[in-house]
Amino acid sequence: MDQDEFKIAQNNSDDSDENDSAEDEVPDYRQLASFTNRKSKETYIPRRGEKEFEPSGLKIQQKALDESRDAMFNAIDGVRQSSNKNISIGLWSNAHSRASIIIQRGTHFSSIGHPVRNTPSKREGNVEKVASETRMELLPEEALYMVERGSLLCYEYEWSDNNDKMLKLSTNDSAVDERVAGLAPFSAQRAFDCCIGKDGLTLEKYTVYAQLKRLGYIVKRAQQQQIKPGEQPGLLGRIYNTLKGIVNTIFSPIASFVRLFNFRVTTLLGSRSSFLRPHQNYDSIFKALRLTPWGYNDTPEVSTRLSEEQQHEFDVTWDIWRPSSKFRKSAPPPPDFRIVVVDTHKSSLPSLEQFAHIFSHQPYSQPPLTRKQKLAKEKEEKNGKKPELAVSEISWFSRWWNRKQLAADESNRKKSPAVMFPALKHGKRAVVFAIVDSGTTSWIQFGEGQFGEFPLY
Amino acid sequence: MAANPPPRNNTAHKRIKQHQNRIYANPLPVLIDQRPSTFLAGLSRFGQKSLINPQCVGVYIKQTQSVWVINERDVRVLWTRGFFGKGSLSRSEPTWNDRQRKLAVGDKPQPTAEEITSKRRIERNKMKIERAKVLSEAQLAAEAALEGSDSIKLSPPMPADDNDNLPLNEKSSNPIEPSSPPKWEPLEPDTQEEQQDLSNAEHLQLTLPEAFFLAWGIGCLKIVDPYTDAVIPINQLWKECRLASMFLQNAPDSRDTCLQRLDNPFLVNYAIYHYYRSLGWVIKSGIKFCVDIVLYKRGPVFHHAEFAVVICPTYEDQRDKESSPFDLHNSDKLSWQWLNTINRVNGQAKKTLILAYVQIPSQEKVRNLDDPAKLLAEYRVKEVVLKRFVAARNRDN
Repeated sequence: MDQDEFKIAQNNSDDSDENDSAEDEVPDYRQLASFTNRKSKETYIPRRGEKEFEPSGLKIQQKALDESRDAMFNAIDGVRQSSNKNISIGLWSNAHSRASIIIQRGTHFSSIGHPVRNTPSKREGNVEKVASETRMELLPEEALYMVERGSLLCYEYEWSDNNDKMLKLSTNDSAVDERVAGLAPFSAQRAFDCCIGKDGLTLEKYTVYAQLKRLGYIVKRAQQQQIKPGEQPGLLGRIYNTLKGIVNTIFSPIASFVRLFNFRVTTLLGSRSSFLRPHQNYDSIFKALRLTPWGYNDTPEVSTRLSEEQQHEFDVTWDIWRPSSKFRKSAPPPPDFRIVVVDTHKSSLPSLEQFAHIFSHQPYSQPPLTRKQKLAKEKEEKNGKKPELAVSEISWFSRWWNRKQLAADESNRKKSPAVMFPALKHGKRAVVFAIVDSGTTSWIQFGEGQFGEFPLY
Repeated sequence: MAANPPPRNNTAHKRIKQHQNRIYANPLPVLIDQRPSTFLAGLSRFGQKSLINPQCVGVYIKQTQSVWVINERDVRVLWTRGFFGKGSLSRSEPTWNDRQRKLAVGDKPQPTAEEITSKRRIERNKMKIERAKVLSEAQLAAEAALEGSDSIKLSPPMPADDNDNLPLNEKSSNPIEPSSPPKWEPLEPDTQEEQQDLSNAEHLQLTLPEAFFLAWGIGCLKIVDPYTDAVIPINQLWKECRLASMFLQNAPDSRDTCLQRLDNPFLVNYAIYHYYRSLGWVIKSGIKFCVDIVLYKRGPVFHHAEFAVVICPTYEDQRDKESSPFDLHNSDKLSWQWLNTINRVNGQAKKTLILAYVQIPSQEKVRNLDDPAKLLAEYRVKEVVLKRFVAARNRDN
């Protein structure tokens, strides 16, 4: 892959993304010189130098500065080349906002583009207008990205319908050269001009798209899936709820009577706080103090207050997959992350109702494993050990019989720092915002908080 | 995470840990009676244990909107059991007396938190000066080499390489934490004579949410009126706390409005305070990190604050917002710039930022504000957790 060109750029822009220690470091640009002179293409990350804040008046500093500057100019100066063997050829139509591929080369198409089936007309007299049955079309961001990275040579051509013979897929270079002879090829500028603003693609969205693609992610337009807010409990759940209701109505008068008695006792004892009754331990004191409800369970009611526009203001823009994921275009797995692109100049933080709305459309997710946990898991897999029985595999009777023990185990598990902190920091459901401020992007993941789920006592 | 020194001496470190665990064993000022209960008590309570109430006393000072705890035993109880309050002459833990006595008598071997910090700052400064010296020496040497052989192709100076060999360097990589917790516990049982020599000028100050939580929630603090010396009953205190909001810049001019409003700043803050306290977190002011509160797992002695919380009030009924006499912070639209600023500060301090939205119940729905417990159940807390997403680091599973 010729991703290394971008690595330099990445190292510049990534500065802000590194943590504190890297903050003081800048790339040593002199390394660029050796990079641009290189013949072989291997992955290469320039070494970082030390940041200097003021002129020391020493020649050595001036020399380093000059060398860095020259190296940068040289890097920009370099002619970008691409081998014919890797360039695909396509036609761009402004009317359709799509590029149609005529010659398909390279590995990009495993994740880029979508097939379009033609309906070749069988009528006589129309013999010339028969194109191949399926061809590849690119969305504006895909076409622009391919052009920008030098993998696609694109000509402007307005096709009338899908059966235009200009669109016919080919592998013959000279034939295609003939076909596109009269057409103007895209420059990078023209590509931006044509693709940005088409089909909802803003410059901000493209910036984020290109950034992720360069890092190797698979990026697709998000499918606005319709997850119904608040999943309906199954039949068993409903039966359980009804039974619970019945039991509650029977027993609540008894319980309140007992409580009344209990209250009497405590007032006689002269306790000043309504919570300061005899307690088993601190856990029960803290539990009695928990009065305020938490969480987004009441959202169906709240999100109705949003207008249609407010509901869609923060729709997910890109679904992305890690480079290592087993991605199939025809049947994409659930995305690894969902990215919402926002423009700082046009929006502010989502309101609480909007957050609720956003979360309700995300699937529940587990926090990523820490390095330690990952190692432990790998080791276990190596040893061929099977994970312990999942709770659902134990019969309901033994679960019921051991319910107190199970509940205690669960609450202890939740108190372990290795479980609690990742869960609190990740949240129940999460979505990533790419916040673009005039070309600079900051990335923040918003998670649905669940502190109430993990009490310390 | 843990604020303890690197385990230079493991046994000493362990001893300090044990010492801390003993002193700060209780998360609340009330103690659970571990004595075997009498037959009668056992009968009536089904094995439940009674609580030992320390019965602390505080004075409500209206002018500073705080409650002062002056009695030294009470100060120690409230600090060691749940880390309530702040020393009026100290950064956090009330250590003024110890520092003074040390100056006068010089007998305390264990340094206080403030002393540890200042010592560390001096050391760090020294280290920086030395590092700069080594750096400039390296540069001068390189310069000399350049002068001597201008024609020879010279490799650029790599001061970082030289620096790596310095043992000093590793100290600088420690994360800097502005409010570093104390490492030793200086509060030992005092000997009485010393106390008479130097009277303690320091008191413990409690914020109103802290005071109300202790007085009402736990029931271990009596709050008295400084003029009459009479104990303020809980329902009166509940009113006083809400009336304190009348001293704000944008405040209603009538007492009744102030008492009736559900978006009273005290109520909003108390709802959050009570919520996180009831989950077991120790809460301290977050002013140093541009946020409202920070959450400690067991207390500032054990860990750095892990979470920084911004309180964002929202209204269940928008009409209440329009009619509000208060100007609640962060209740309007928040800008991305604001968010990035705060997130940046807290990212540097290795804290996770939380937006804690407090849903204020509709004024129409809730008429009776007299019962704190019932009222708190009407509010609702919804959190949004923030985390920086670094695409380059999340690439590999």
